[in-house]
Amino acid sequence: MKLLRVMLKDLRLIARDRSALVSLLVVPIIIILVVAETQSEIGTQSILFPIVNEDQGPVANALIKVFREHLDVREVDRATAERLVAVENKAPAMLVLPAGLSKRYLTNKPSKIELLTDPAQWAELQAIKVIFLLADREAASLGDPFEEELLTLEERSLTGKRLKFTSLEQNIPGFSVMFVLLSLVFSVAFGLRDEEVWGTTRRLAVAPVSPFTVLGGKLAARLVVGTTQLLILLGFGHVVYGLSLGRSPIAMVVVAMCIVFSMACFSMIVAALARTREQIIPVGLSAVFILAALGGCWWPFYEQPKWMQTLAHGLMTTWSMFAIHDVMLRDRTLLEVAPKLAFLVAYGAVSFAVGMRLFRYSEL
Amino acid sequence: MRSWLRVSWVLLGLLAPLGNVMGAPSPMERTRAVLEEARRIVDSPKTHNEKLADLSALLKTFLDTDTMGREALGEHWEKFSPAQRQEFLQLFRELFQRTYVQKLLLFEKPDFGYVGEEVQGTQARVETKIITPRDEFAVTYRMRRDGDDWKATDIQIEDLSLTTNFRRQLSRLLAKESPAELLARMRRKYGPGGTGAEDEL
Repeated sequence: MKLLRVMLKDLRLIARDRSALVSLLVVPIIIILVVAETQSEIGTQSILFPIVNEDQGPVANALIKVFREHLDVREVDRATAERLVAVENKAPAMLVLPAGLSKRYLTNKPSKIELLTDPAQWAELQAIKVIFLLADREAASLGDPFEEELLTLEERSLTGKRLKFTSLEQNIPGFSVMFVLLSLVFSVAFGLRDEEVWGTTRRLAVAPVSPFTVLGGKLAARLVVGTTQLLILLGFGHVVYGLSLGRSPIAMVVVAMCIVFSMACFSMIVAALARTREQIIPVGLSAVFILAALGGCWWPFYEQPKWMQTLAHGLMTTWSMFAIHDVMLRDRTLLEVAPKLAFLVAYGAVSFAVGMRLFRYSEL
Repeated sequence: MRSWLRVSWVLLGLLAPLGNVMGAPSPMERTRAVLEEARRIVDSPKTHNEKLADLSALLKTFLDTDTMGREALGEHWEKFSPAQRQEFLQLFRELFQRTYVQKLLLFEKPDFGYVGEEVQGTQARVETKIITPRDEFAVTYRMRRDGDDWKATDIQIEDLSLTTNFRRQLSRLLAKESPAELLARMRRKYGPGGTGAEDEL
């Protein structure tokens, strides 16, 4: 009987914090929805594949038809295709079907087809290569019944020296970013709520410093810890797994700082939304998991459905992964990655302003 | 009177085949009829496999694949037993028709041009072209007279003779493989239920 009373008392206590209670179900449901949506469209139809059709003949048209069945094919000029692959990184590769391809093919003369790639998008690139094999096999049945090699693929990277990357180059930065975000969100939110418990809040309230200075100082400390954590994790990947860190160590350090700045500032919003200690875990976890999933920390960004990719362009995790991949895999310099860093800094500044506006100590 | 009758019979005997010749289509007319029908099939809203079947049926009476097959084997013909030759010709018919038809189907809306014909006794050459918006593909048919009809014994696309190309490929294979192995290879692709039947673009 006593046991029942204790249990009922605890249930009443738990029921008081409705937000925490709702979060118990909302968080897993949101994560399940995000994962299910991503996995439901693992097909290749969302992969943008620019093709430069210099041939305009029947063989080129037949190849394009096959690619169109599996990929989001756009027939464009060479400059546009190069921009989509090398500058905007919206497409993992472009195909150049050279002039005279049809004539050569129909008269059994071998032709070279150029595949210009962005190897940083390795998963999508693999899918394209599989589809190319399929197209080649189907084309071979036309003019090549005894399977001579009439089409050979000449692969060249448009964005760096290396042609191939492994899943480690996706997973190590992805999980490093996620765990840094996780530790920032919880350390900032718990840190601020703990001050209420310790009574530091009242002392700070009467101290001759502005809330901006107090919160800014706290975040600056987290910035140092988070940047160090991220760099150590990436360094661990480099030493143990041979992960490339790019050719500019300064660029990597600045990228890490900007990523952690945006995340630390974003943690302020989570701290503001979670008004009790009990709410921090569900709110924090849902924020971290959704940002990590949509931002391409768990799987390659372009494996997600198009609408999720569009949505993800507004998240700092997406731009964090883009910036890391730019430096690590595309050998980009600090100047070249500057627009993405500017986005991260702006994101952090806006998050900090919003967090400052929303955050209230529950005691004051 | 008897001599007149004899002369009449002789004249009738001479003119009868001439009548056939006069009524028979020229190599160019025959080719044009086949290609225009082929264009109608390619333009039709049928499925790829239905088009493939219709084109194969159309070309069966136009292509002399037996002559092509013998030419493609060249000196290797002697290595084949009579039964193997028969099977080879059957499989080669399927292979050649499929290769040619698939090439035709590459052109989504083929526009044919008829350049000219050259007839020498029972042999003829018909020059045509396939016109695409950007390019032209010269296609020449080498033909032989077959009774009232003309049959294609080789097709040349640009500078590539399909028969010569098959001869080169078959020679290369027969340098490494026996006739039985070659037939097994062809059977896998072009025999009943072969993988060649599933190819689709």
